[in-house]
Amino acid sequence: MMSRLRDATGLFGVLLCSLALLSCVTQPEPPAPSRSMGFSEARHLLARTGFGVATAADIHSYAVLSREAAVDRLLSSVLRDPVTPPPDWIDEPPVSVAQRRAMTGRERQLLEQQRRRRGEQLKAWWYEEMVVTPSPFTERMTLFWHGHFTSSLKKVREPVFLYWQNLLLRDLAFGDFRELTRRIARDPAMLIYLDGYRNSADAPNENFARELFELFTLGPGNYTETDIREAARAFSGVRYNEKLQAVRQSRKLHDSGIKSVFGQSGRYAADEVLDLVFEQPATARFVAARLWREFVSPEPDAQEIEALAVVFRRSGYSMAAALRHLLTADSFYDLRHRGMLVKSPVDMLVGTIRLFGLTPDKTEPLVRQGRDLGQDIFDPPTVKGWDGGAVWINSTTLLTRQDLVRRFSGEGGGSRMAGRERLAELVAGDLSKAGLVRLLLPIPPLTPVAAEASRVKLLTDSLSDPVFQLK
Amino acid sequence: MRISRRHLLSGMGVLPLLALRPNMALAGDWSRILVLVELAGGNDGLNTVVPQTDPLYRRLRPGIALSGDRLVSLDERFGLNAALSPLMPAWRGGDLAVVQGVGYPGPDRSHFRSIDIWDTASDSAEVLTRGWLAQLFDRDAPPGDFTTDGLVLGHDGAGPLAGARRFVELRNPGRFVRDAKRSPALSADAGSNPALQHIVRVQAEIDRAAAGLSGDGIAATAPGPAFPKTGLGHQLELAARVIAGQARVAVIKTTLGGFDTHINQVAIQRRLLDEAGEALAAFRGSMQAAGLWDRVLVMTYSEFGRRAAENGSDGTDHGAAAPHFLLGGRVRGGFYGQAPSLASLENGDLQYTTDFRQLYSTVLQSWWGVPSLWPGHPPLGLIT
Repeated sequence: MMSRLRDATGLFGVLLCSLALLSCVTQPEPPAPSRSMGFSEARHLLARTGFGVATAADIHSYAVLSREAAVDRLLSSVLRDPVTPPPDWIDEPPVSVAQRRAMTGRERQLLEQQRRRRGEQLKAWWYEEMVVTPSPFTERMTLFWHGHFTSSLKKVREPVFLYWQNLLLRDLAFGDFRELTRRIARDPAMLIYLDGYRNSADAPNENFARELFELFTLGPGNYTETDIREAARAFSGVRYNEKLQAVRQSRKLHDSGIKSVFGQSGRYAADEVLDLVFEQPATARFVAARLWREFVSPEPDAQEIEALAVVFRRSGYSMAAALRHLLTADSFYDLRHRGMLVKSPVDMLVGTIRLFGLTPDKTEPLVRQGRDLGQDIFDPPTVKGWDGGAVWINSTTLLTRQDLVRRFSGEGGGSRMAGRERLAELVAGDLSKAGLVRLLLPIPPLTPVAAEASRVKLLTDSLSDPVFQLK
Repeated sequence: MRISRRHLLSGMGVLPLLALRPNMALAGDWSRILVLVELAGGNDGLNTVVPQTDPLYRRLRPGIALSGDRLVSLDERFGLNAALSPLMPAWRGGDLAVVQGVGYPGPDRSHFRSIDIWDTASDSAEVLTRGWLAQLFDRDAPPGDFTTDGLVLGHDGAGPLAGARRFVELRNPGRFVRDAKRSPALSADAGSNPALQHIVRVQAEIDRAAAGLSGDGIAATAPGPAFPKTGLGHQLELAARVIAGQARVAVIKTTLGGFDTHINQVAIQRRLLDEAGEALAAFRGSMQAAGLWDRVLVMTYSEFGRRAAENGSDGTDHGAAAPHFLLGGRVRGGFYGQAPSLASLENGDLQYTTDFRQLYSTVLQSWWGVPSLWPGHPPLGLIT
């Protein structure tokens, strides 16, 4: 039914819809899409801000827009809440570290079994959200923050805390980075993940302060060991209060003495140290460099990153402002950067499913497949998140990626997922052969397919070409 | 003048290559295998090889110091964390070496920076991108008919092999061989895109290794008694099957993670060292049963040791030097190097006494019989 509708309206209908939408979104100013970006740039924008690929319908609806209008439309359609209902246990009060400690061995064993089960359900929930969301960009940024402000179920153990953290990351994904960092410093999952809940005046624990500087804000080389030790004192006493279900900095456990951080001294608590962090120009540069690596290229461009950092800082650390700058810049669309990024495992799984229009009836298998490919969401390997890039691809994961794509595309009849209409359309549809390749691949395939090859062969060869691993 | 000079230079560039390459390929005893065990997260050395008679040890660690049946004595001064007691037969048998105080000058306390330093054998302030084994294999590669130069088991990346041309990551050999048969053959040139170059290199190495890993390339079962059903147990079992099979490799890397013990260290480290001790003991038994123990050198490493004093959360924060283990049929057992003094800490950390590159020189010079890449760091003389 859906596919017949799409056939009936066709490309022309898609164009009309998107023009109508555009005039709604940008009502105050008359639409002046001075220059429409065209298929190739629209594909690039949607693939890089989505899951590594985009559907023909989405590409065509963006292709008529200017870069600025396209990025405005992307940013104005992001969501702050998930559309997928969470697992039904999510309202049960979390079991704190202290409560767990008071349990008998048997109770603890049962709790851990339940947590493992729920952890898998939580992962499946996020995959479902990624598969069905109308805003892939929201998921990409939430995943970006998950890899930046990492926490893992393995260490945190209580799935509810990770769910709350996920809600926080998506709520502020495009918001004020300072606010996000302040909230992360008092996030229950983070308190456990980096041992903040053990940090007190008489027993300082440096773990959070160190990773905050090294991985979350300043980057290596922009602080001293003394800064870490002093900042750790400022973060002492932050605790999750079970009765209030909220985090507070306990006066009793906090070290109220004078600390000296970055050459300044005061009776700092958590937020004051963060204010000092945001006064350091290194912070904006560090985040800008991460965005560049995430969305543009693994090879840094000092000038572009500095320009992005300046925009970011002047905007009051607005992520939306930084992303608008990044995604409308000539450098983003530069042909030199096309196909330079490796699709993440989530890109491979979710992107391919969305591209083919498949509708998996459950997403637990995606959790396992992501794990096999090296990206176990809610369980990043280290506090640095996932290294990403070329590291995604090794001899084991490359074979598994190829195997999964073969199964998703139904080669050998392997996939049991419903919804094969769009795949059939790709084979039978109205795209030219060259258009089909341009839809599937970010740059020309490494092994060109002979012009006389059938469309099925063209499709399977494009999917097995190494370039399909890129975005 | 200019032209002749250029001719001369180009001639000099080519000739040594032609003259040296065949010799280089022959250099080294590549029947010997290195098995690396990475203890990821920064294993606390002071609670691994414990200075049991030093009163400062208990003063620094009133809450987490080990004593009584949590230790087994290695000699009158040092006790081994009892979780590692499966290694005691190797210690008594004289094929377990304990190298004390391994570290480097100007220690970096970041997990990521410090493991990069270990992986690339760089100085503290020097950033290199190629692993120390990749650097070696650039100069002295194992024979061309090897299945692959290195096998990476476990999940922690290529580490010392990063940047090497010939290595594969392997989890399930049966599936690897099966999937490789269906994988597309590539003949095209990847051009200048680094990501694409990487994929093409991986694909080529898959094709190459899959042939050697199929059939009796990997023994159907590991020789000797059963391995423990743990993460490291599975990795070392696979390592044993590879070594006992027809496949030929120079290096096998395994990983055990979780050593970042900022809290509740005693219980967490006990569980991890338990896993390490049992898996290593099984591996030793397996190799001995197959008569292959003389061909194997096992070496542990970790990004850093931990702070000498405990931190007040019953754990320890990131530190510097730590002891490491070498095991094998040709290892001359015993202690090597000086245990760092607990009386002269540097910023609260143990000062290193053995540069980690001495371990690497030992592997290159004493194990494989090729010149060290780090001549300033002499081998430890623990291989017979």
